[in-house]
Amino acid sequence: MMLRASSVVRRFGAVTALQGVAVTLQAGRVHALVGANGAGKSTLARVLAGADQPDEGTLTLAGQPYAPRNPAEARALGVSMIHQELSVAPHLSVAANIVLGSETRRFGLLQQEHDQARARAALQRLGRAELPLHQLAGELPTALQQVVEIARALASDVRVLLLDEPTSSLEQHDKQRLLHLVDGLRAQGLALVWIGHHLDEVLRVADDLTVLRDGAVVARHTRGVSAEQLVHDMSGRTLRSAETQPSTCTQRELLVLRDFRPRHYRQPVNLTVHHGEIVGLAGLVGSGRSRLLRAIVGAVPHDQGSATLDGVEVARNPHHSAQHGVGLVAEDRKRDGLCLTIPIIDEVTLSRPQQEAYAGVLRSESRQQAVRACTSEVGAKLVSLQATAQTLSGGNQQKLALARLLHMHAKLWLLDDPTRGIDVAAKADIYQAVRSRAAQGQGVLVASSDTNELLQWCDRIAVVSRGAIVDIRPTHEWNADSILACAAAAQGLREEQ
Amino acid sequence: MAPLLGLILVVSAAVLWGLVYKPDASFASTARAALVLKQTAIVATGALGMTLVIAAGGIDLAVGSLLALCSVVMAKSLSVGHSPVSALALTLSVGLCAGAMHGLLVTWGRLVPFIATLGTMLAWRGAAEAVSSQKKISAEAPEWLSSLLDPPGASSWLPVASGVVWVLALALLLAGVLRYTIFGRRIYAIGSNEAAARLCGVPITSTKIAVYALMGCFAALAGVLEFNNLSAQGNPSSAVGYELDVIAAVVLGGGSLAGGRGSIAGSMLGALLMTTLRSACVYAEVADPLQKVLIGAIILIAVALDRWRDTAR
Repeated sequence: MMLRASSVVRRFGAVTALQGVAVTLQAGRVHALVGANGAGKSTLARVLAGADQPDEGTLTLAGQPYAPRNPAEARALGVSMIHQELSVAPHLSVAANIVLGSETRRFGLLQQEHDQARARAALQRLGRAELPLHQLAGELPTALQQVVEIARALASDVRVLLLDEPTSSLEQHDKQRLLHLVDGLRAQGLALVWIGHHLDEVLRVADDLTVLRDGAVVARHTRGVSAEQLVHDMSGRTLRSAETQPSTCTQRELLVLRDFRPRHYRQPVNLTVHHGEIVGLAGLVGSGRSRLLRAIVGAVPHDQGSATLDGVEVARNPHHSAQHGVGLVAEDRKRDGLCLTIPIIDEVTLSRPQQEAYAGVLRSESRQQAVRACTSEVGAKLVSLQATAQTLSGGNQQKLALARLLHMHAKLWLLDDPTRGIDVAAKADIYQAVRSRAAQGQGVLVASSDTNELLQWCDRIAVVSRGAIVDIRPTHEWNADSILACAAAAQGLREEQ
Repeated sequence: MAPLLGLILVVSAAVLWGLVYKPDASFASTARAALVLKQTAIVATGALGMTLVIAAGGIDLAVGSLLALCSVVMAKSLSVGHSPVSALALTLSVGLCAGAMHGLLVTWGRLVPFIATLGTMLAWRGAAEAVSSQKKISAEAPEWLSSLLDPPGASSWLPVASGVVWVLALALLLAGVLRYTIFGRRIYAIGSNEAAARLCGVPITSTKIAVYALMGCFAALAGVLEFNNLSAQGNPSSAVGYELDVIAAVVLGGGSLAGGRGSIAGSMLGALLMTTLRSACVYAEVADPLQKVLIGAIILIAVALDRWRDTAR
């Protein structure tokens, strides 16, 4: 037994995030924490890693009482956490990043050679000895930055390693590599914690599983449990998962892209989205999926061609597009998806506030009614419309972004990875909301890295690669493998040139 | 509400001190209150505009110089024989144009607000010196214009100077704008996350230009009050360091330099807190150097307390 927590209680004001949770981590085993958004997984992980202090409960590390007051103390005792948002210092070298915070010093001077050897040893343990120690970490792709962070934990003698949604920003190929890496660390005798929404990954990697719901442990399993069982435990109900609804596609053209070439695109795009149609954009990260969506709202300039919505020219600037019914849900909620510190009511009405205003002055009654109608249609659970979005879970935040599109009566829904970092139940709600809008004649253009999701949602799927649409077909002509093959093949083609 | 609490603390401390050491002259007198309000008016006027700028995630370092420029323009145009109304209109339009220019610099010019207004801070000061030939300008002003900050006459029904009432009225108006208009709500959205607000279709450029232009107008109004305060004089070297007082008032009132936060009521109380503190120091005969240290320390403590309470939530 490595790390044991018992009867851990953590309250935030009136909300009890953890109500008497117990968990035991063992050396040489991967322990998965699963649960819906807001179930308390992250809070528990933060408590274990010293980033948060429990109000009640006891923790022991290898038999000794363990009460870290901050992450640095936990790290000194051998407990490290890798967060979803990586904390690599982009302007420092790989080696400097790996020893960051645990630099060897003698008479106040850095012992660089010793540190380089430590960094190399840490990378070797990860099977990534080939990484150049002198390269700036910011120049590495995300997957390798993550390796650098794990190496940092190893360099400071980690015994317990917590991984919070480690695959959320990785490509398929890199996800596989990470899973192998975790297998390696398990074999080296580390106690690992894996937090993730993707059940296939969880089932593949975990030896022990603890399911949390509303801050309490509802089930414990070991390797071999079924996905259905986990979903049932997490949601407390049986989800009719992956149920595809019939297409509502019409023949009326909504969005017409004619020789439309966003800046830095290799080829112009010709694409039509019909009323009631859901079109998917598949492709690897960096392929230009997001760029196309951003160009259609006018946030990224286009160098040629036109984009028309019901015959009206759009893609001039985001304000103009919003006024004409183009709504975008951005990929990264924190970066440019939501204004997290303004009241929910303002967030939802941000795109078309004039609907409930007279000469620029807001009418609070009708505004509240409109916002309530929109948020309840997407199934957002809200306490107060005056609260800020940062108090909500990721799933509810995403529902707010969708509620904004409802409120602005968007004719065209541009969704950039709308289910990223969201639990199964919230995913189902979001799919429902999008499908029902399509049924009312609105058009949807959705980009996603989750090919299964695209196959379930869409009427047609286009594959984007290196700034061009390389293929577009009805969904029934695609499967997960052919989409990936197409995206990767187009990539390879370019590299051969 | 932190600034209100601070205000109560300062006043009660001064009153208690007075009970012991100055039993014949209490701190809490109507005359002193009127004086404090009058002294607050100029900083408060700037703080009104600065609340908008800071809530939108910006900053304006040029308010002090712009104030000086506007007070000089006011004095100069009166002294060359313009009517008071046209002098006032000219002064306000100078403020408006200068402010709009700040807005253009930070939007189309893509300059960081700090740098843009650091540059114009020097430029406006130079302009003020050029207009006045580096001398104070005295002017004749009619009663209604020159007595804005004078104590109310015996016949007046107002308990305070008319300028104070004007500032209060503007504060009420602006608080309403921030709370109940599209423009006001957009300011907070831009300050909270500009990139997100842009993608959601908020017109960033026009909103920001309007915010800085309004700031310019308030700087001009403060210039008019300063012109009054100096008994109808325009002084090109007045209001040095004024921008910092104004920023301190907004921050004391809960504004965040990271944007997205700030309220008119808070900023007004912040401005009032600073003048009350100065007045209390004078009353308690605190030496001038110590007074500065004290005020600086109190600003730091007040803001730090506010932030700690915020993170504890």
